[in-house]
Amino acid sequence: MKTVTIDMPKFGQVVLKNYTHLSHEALLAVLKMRNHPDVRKKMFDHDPITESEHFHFINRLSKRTDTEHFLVLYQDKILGAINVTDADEQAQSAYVGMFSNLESTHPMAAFILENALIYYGFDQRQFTALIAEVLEENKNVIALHQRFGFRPAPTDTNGVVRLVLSNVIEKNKGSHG
Amino acid sequence: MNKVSDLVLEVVRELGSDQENKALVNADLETPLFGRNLDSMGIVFLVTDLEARISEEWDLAITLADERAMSQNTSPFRSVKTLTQYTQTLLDEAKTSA
Repeated sequence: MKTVTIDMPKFGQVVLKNYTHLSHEALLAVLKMRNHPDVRKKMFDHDPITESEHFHFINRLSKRTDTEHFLVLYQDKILGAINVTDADEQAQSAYVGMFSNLESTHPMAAFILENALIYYGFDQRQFTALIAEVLEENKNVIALHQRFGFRPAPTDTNGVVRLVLSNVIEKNKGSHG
Repeated sequence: MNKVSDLVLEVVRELGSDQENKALVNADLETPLFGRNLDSMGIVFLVTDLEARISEEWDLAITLADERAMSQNTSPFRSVKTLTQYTQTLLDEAKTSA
């Protein structure tokens, strides 16, 4: 999907723009966000991303049907990005991730990004489970996911915490949206 | 100091302890929050903790993070004082309609 508009009960409209349909300038803004040192250190690969690697990555995304990355806008401001990767249509589950635009001065950015991720996964894509894998030293990110109902699940990968959220959208619509 | 400011300060100080943030551990009403001592992830922790404590204390459900909070002339998340004032307003409304 090119652009998805989500209507959140507590925040109103949030716009998700697929990376594969962004302008060159917008993609450079995405690269800048991806390369922020505080974003990189939370990723599995800490190395800065070159412009060439970034555009190859975008190019590869356009050929995949199981993976989507979105820029998240609220009131025309970029709050960050969310992604749904390795979607398993049979298992109705997908891996999810997010990062903030660290130049954003919006106090609700993390609230809105996490809600956008959950609503897109459950409401739009109808997954029954969302899986987040986070480096174990990223205690705040783990705690953030847990505040929204993600629960730890077993994993064989050392240094990684796996968290799973089952579809609770109807039950929690009033509390998190 | 009233009960709401005591509660807000308690939650802020506990969060400061979790986040190893001295300014929050020693918070008073003038302590800045968002932009100085908390990022937007910290605001999630503060809001969810405070909403839970209010529910325990008064058995009332209030929503501190929504469009209304964002439309205030002064952001509720600017300082402990502004958060206390906004929390008090929401609590008064919730008590009236309960």
